Amino acid sequence: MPNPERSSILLVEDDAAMAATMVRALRSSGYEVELATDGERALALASSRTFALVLLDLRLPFVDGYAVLEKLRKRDHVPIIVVTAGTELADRLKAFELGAVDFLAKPFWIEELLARVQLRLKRPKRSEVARRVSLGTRVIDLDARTVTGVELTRVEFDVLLFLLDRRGQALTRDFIASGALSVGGEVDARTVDSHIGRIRKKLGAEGLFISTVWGVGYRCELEP
Amino acid sequence: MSVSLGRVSLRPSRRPPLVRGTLGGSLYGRIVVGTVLTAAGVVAAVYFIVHATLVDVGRTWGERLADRTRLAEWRASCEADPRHAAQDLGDGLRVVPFDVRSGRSLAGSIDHALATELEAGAPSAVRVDWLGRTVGARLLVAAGGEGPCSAFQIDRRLDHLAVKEIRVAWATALFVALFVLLAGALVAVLRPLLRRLSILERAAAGVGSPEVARQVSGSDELGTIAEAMARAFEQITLDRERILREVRVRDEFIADISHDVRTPTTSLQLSLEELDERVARDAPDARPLVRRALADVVYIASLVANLGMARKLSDENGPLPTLRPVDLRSIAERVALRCAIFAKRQGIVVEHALGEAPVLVMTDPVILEQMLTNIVENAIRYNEVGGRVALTLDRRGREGFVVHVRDDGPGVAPSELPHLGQRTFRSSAARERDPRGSGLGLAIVRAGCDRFGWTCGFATLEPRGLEVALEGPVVTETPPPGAIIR
Ligand SMILES: Nc1ncnc2c1ncn2[C@@H]1O[C@H](COP(=O)(O)OP(=O)(O)OP(=O)(O)O)[C@@H](O)[C@H]1O
Ligand SMILES: [Mg+2]
Repeated sequence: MPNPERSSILLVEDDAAMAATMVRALRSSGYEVELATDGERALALASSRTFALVLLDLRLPFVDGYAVLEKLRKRDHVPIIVVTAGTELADRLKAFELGAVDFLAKPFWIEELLARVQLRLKRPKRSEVARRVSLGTRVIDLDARTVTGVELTRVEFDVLLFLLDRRGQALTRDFIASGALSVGGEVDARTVDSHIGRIRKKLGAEGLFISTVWGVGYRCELEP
Repeated sequence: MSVSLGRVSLRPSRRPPLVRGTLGGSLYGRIVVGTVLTAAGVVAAVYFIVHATLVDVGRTWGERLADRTRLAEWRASCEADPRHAAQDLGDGLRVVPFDVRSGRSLAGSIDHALATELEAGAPSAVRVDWLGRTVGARLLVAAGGEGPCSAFQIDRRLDHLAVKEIRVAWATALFVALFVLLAGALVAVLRPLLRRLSILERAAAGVGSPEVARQVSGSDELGTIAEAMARAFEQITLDRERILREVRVRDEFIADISHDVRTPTTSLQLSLEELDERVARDAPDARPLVRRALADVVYIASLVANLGMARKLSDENGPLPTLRPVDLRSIAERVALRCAIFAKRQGIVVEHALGEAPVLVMTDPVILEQMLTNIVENAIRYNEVGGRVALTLDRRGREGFVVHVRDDGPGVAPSELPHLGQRTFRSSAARERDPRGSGLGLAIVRAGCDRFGWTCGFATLEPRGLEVALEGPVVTETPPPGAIIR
């Protein structure tokens, strides 16, 4: 029984082995998958029900993948990610022109496939911006600009906030400097190091949340 | 100017002979004939002028000498003794009487040719001899009446000095004639020759344009060279077209292969990825094997992609990639994600920090993606288990960007840094460690930077590792939204 909560994906792929691997991976990530091994079947399936996403290999037997893309696209406005071995820019441009939303270039990885699919199916969750953030045992109040148990300077608080907003992402010193420090004019990226050093020291055990990323800069980790 | 036809093979069977040997036709023959004719003309002219002048002089001289009184005197003494009437008058003058009717003389020999003129009724006949061994003039005059004393032959021999003068004058005239002749020949022959040579030179400079070579028409050597050049050019044009056609076929072949290889590579890559999952769970000791296989698959894929790209980038006659506004950030992100997956399976971490806003640059997105992939894949491939790779994108002021790819692998020796990006260069360490590798990757990065007007720098990191930096300008004015490629 199809689960209405689960996103359903139409996979159009003629290579049986590849299709099997892709279906397995998509299913185990929680998607519902229908497989069509040629263009005819794909079009028939697409008109019989609606899908949240179509994954279309442009190299299909007997028919031109682009024609299938165009027909699928005309039927309804389902987002289509094309899988292509084409190396020419023209191939990509053509796919985009015919309405593809993204492409996956061969050879690809399963993880890459899943990432691309997820990017399309992830629902934008515009949750209320939290005004209080917790970092380990400390709570950061964005309105009062306070951290429990610690005195941070205005600049240090800005830097911490900048990192917290992008938790889990690595950030370069330049990016932090231009985003959190510049009060007009360029700021030396090295001053970021000294600010971070002081923030870490003041936060104590929670300082471990801010890690140095080799070759990049800093990151506020989700877990210490 | 040198025309080398050495390497062009002209198949003689299908072509008329190149050299035409007729005297009038060849350049040499023309020069010879022209020179001889002009020389003969000048010599003849000089001869006739000198001769006519001398004859005139001789006649007036003779006539003055043989006036009526003198003639009467000579006649009187002749009639006294016709047999001994020849007399030397001194100063090289000698008078011999003869019969105007028979042309015979009782006193000496008479010039028959001149005598016949008198016989025909002329009052006098004159001959000037200025070329032979005896230089002088001879005058035959009729004295009236009949008999052995009715005419006189008067000879005048010139003395040695006068002879010399005449000869010098003659030689000078000849030299002048010769000089005039040569100058004339030079002007006449060289002018058109130079003109045609310059056409020939133009033709030689423009290999591949047989029409220009054909402008130097003619049946002499120059014309022959021009014709040979025109043929060679035609051959070259044909060869060029054939080679281009072959190259095109080969290029399409490479493109097709590189396209077709992608599908099996994908399924191989997917299978290995799945296998790696299972091996990690059930047989961790076999992981290095899978790792090697994965690295090989990635290597094959990038080799095939690089081959196609190198062909495109090195094709000087091919179309330049049209540069369009591209979001460098999203392309870098795609590369980072993809490479991180591969790296993870090699026990290497790839971090990326690309900022949040799109960074628009003028580029070809396919080439750019390949360039970044090559740099990051190097950083992974030459690294060891536990290694780290970082891909960052930052703005350089308002107008520029800089991409850094850093790794903490073995790096390259500082002395080898300048060679990075030279086609087929591989560091000695890399060759030792891994015999695979074409040395194409960074050459494509360099070529791409050249095309886009970017710079590409390499630096060694402390304590170890390599840093690759790409820098270039960003698009400052906002293009229409549809024009941006992500
Ligand atoms: N990150 C790196 N660390 C150490 N050496 C590197 C690194 N990047 C490049 N090199 C050196 O530069 C050489 C040239 O690299 P390049 O990518 O052009 O060719 P390749 O990797 O040998 O072959 P391929 O064409 O498959 O990429 C490499 O062989 C290696 O010696
Ligand atoms: Mg390489």
